[in-house]
Amino acid sequence: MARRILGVVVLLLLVGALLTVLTLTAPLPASVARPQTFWNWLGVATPYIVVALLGMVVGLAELGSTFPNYPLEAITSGWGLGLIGLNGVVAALVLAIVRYYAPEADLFLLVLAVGVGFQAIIRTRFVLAKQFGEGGEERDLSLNLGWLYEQFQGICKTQIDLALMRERESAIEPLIRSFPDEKTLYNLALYTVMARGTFSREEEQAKIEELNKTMANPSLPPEVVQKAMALAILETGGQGFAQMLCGLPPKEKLPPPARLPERDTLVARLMQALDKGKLVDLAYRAVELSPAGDREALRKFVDDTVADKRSTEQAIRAVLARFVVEKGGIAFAQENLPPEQPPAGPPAQ
Amino acid sequence: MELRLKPNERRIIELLGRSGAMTPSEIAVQTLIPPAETFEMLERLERSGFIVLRDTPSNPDGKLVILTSEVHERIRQQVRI
Repeated sequence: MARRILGVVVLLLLVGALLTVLTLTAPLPASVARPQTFWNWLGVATPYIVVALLGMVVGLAELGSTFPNYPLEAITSGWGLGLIGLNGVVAALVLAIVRYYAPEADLFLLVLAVGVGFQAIIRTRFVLAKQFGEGGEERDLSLNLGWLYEQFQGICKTQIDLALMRERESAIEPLIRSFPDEKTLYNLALYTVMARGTFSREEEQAKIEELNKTMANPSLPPEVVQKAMALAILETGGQGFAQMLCGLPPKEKLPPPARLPERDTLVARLMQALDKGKLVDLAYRAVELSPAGDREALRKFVDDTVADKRSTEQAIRAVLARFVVEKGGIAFAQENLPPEQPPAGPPAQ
Repeated sequence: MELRLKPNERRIIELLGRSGAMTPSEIAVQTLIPPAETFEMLERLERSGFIVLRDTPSNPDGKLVILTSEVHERIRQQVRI
């Protein structure tokens, strides 16, 4: 954030310095005296400042509409600030030239003509002669005054896109590290879409459809799905929201023993460490920990699961392990896990 | 889209509407529907286009269940009404 603010300050200082040089050195109409004091100078510089500001606002709007998902990041990137600054300085320069050649023209009209008209002219393609029929646009005789600006705009767009891609990559990495499974990332992305108050029903549905399409595509490997979900969270919720999510599970803030493991991780560890018999035993013990009114239904569920002959043993173990975690609680599941073996060190010499 | 479902299928769909993506074992434990019945229902719901079953090797169940966009929207509409 500090880098962004610094960028904006540098841009304003640069544009201000260029305007100062311009107003102090540019030839003024004979009727205007060369400024001696700061206030005199401000009086002379005001039209230039207004024109530069108008140009900068147009540049800002262009960037905002070109990068609707990351307007702030695009505007405060180096190339974004450059484009905004260029719009402002060139507009002021044009005003100086026009004022020199038309010293008697009404200053208010000049400011308006340059501030608004110049911005329109450098973005306009004048067709001098048009061919008959459709589709012959490239063979029309035209004068494209905005060609040079278009080229610069193209370079800026590519460079900003590349900078944003680098930022996106570094912003989604912590999300994937904090929520390494597809399920949590999908659920967070879904929540982010639904929590955005400004989406219309159609926009919301389109976003959810996009998420579901990614999840439903069996050819996409888990890493790609994870990145797509993290990107959706980032694009929908913004960088601040993504950072807040990464700070939510207190992984970095608490020492490792105080961390609560993810339920899915616990289920996997239970399945890995215990055979079906032990899981059944634990499931019945979890039933005893539940409120008295629920016990009958829970016991019946465990009975039905144990008696299930149609499901695979893996599926039954998954359901029993899940039951232990959900109904017995995380602490109960952890207590009944054998201690983790430390990773094997190098053999003793 | 008309949701014509049996009571237990409706419970699963509503649970997924509330909770987002879930694993089959989570659904079985939350609804207390026996595993075989849960898995059969999930396959039926997938064939009918209500849900998507995604293979997720990193998950203890190996599968993830999500609602299709149409059903999700339908449930959201019902909630809003």
